[in-house]
Amino acid sequence: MTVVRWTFFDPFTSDTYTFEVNPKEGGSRQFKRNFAFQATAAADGKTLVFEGRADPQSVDFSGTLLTEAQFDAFQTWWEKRNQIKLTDDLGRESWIVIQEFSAKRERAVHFPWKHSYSVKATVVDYP
Amino acid sequence: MRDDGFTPIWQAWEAGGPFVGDAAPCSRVTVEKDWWLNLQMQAGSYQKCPIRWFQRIDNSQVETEIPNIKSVSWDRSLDTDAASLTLTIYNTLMLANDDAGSSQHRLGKPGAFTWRVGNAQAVARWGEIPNAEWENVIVVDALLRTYQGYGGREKTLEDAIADGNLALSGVWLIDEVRVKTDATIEVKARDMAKLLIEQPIYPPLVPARLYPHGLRYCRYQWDLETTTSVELLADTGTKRGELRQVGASQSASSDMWGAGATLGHPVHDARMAGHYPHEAFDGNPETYWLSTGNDQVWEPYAVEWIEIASGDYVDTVTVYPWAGNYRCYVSVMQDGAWVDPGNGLIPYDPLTVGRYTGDNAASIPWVVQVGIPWEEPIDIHLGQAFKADKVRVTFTNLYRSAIGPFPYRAGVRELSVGLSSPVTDAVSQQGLVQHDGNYRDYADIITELALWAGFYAFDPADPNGTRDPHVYGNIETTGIADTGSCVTEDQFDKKPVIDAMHIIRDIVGYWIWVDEEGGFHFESPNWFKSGNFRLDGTMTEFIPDIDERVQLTDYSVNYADKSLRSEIIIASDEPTAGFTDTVATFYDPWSPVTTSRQAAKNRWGKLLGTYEDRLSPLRGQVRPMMLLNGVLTNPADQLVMAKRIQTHIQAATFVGSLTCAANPCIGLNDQIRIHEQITAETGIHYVKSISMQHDLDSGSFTMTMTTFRLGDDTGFEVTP
Repeated sequence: MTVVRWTFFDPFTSDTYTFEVNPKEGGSRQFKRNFAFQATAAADGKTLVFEGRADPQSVDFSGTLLTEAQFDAFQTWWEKRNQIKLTDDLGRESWIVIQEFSAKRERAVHFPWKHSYSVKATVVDYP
Repeated sequence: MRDDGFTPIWQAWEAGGPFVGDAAPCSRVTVEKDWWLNLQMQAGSYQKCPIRWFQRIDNSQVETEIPNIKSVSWDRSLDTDAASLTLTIYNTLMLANDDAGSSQHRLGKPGAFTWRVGNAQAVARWGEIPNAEWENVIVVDALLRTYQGYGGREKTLEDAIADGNLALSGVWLIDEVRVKTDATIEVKARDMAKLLIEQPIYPPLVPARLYPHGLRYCRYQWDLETTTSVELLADTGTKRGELRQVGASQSASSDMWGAGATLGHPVHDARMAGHYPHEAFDGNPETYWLSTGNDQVWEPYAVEWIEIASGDYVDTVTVYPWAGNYRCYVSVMQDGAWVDPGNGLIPYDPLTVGRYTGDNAASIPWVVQVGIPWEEPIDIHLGQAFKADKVRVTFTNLYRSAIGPFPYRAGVRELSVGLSSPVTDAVSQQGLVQHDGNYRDYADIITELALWAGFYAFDPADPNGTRDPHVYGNIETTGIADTGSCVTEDQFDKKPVIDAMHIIRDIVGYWIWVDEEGGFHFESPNWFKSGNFRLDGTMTEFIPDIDERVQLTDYSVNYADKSLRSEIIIASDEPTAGFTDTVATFYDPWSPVTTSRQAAKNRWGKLLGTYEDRLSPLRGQVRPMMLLNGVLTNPADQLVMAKRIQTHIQAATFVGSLTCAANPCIGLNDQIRIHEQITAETGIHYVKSISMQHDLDSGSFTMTMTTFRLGDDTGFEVTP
């Protein structure tokens, strides 16, 4: 079975980056609503529930970087100030802004640039 | 109170939520980009244009919704002149990737709602392009409208309003716009009462032709006028005159010729053949005056006359002749001279030859000439009334009697003068005449000020103003006007409109506020009867329940004596200063007896001495309040004001504060019912202030109201 790679796409430069190693975890959008609560004055009264704005959807994923090129690529894409399109192996597309890219170096004899990483991104639009 | 047309809001609120989903709190804000305080040059028969308007009564203004609202909070109170709004907006605009203006260097469009963006340097530095849609939009004195309620987030604004999800909660004019680097804009605004606060009473707000004397308001005006009245100088009626004298055409030495008569000299009452002149005035037709005799009827000296003294107005002479067929002339002496209408003189030549010569002075001007019938009374009309000294009736064509050797004589059985039409005179005199002034009710003054300031209800269907103007909002008449003195221009001149309105408000005890829809209100407090008034002034019995189990999150009540007064004194001047023209009313709110001026002084003395009124919560403390007001010179008006003040004092004595789920359909001057156990509260309260907060991020949507207790189902404590 052919592995479908994740991709980043920059609409301004038309660059596409294809992940060499797909993330190990994550990739699904996260949804969250905000509520405010207030108790009414009576001991046996109800609690008032007010619905606020929903948080923007987010996408988290994490995995492993093995090479310097992979590491640099992630850093390059993090540095972009515009929306980029993320496409995962399931074909789900999201315009995102990468909020956080965290990499942690891990010891590996054959891959001195091995890092575990996590990415947090905010979904700002859908294709 | 807005009880109709907002079903989703009331349903959600009365159920206490949950305020989620289709009932989630919602606040939306619009700006009317092209609003202007417009002039109206004509409004029916109204003579004091131009007036101003901002609101079309059909709500046909074009509004642009401001996105990215972060929070909306406002305060509205009957104790403040204007409501205030604080609005926070996220100052950025997210763009789709294919939108013009999207950038590879920037996420979205920061500062999108800043009034000033996109000059050449900005473009060079940030790659921005001019933001035409929002440039110079969120600026000072822009007009905002806030819509709030429950549900409708996914709907268009028009649909959400039409469906009753959103109610207009304020019409605002921006005071300050603060753009901050945290990508928010903070807007501070006041409601349309700002028009009353910031605009002074000075041309051109007041038409220059009316300034300043047109600002003098008098219930009545007194004009020096010339009046003409009809004075009755003499009434009708027959006045029997008195004999003045008779003229003797010949001298007489015996009864046959006239005893005592001397030729050429008129006599008063000479006897002639047994008849006296006075018998023509005795009311008895059987007796009569008989003239001296003449030898021939055609002789020019055969002229006899008799005079009546009058001294009064005369227009008719009544002759009841003895015999008859005489030719008769009537002459009138007025102011010492014979009236000469130009008819000539009575034909007469005295006898100058012979024994019986002389001149009886019969040749005088005459007024009327008539023929006298035979033995039949005749009224001789003179054609006008004369203030006659005397009237002479002269006879010629004398009757050939059988009396004496000179048989031609005249005779009169009765003779009188009278007045057949009253005599009047037009009398002109100057004096002060009372007319209606330039107002009938204090509300008229408020109306005028509101129209000038901008609250004319503009009807787009009548752009040329063919109808008399109405104020956008509701103005309640007071039934009061100062009949004693005028509201003078110096009380208004150059003051903010609201200050001038306060002068009137303080007299009548009404409230002034601008409602959620921008309408101006001048109304009596809604605390005399249970129920609520809609914004258009119609009444509803509906009183919202705020229940500790459903919406109420916090409640406290404060009982304070700070405002209590033992006595309220309204006076035109310091009452103890000894001025004789001071009008003062002393009102004891705890034993409500209004005393007369003298008794009030006694009462004042009592207050200084032994005050033992057990009804007062002040328990004998002397804490009077005195208001000196030169406008209030009518004791009845003073009493009304004193009672109004006491009502307001009561309102300030028991003050409640509650917080509950927000309901934008509840407004100032509304009644609500509170149920809360700790304070043992189940009564009806009056809403004096509202503070509403909506954090659109968290969803918290609450309102805090300041209230005072009116009463409960057993009755209200406040009485008119």
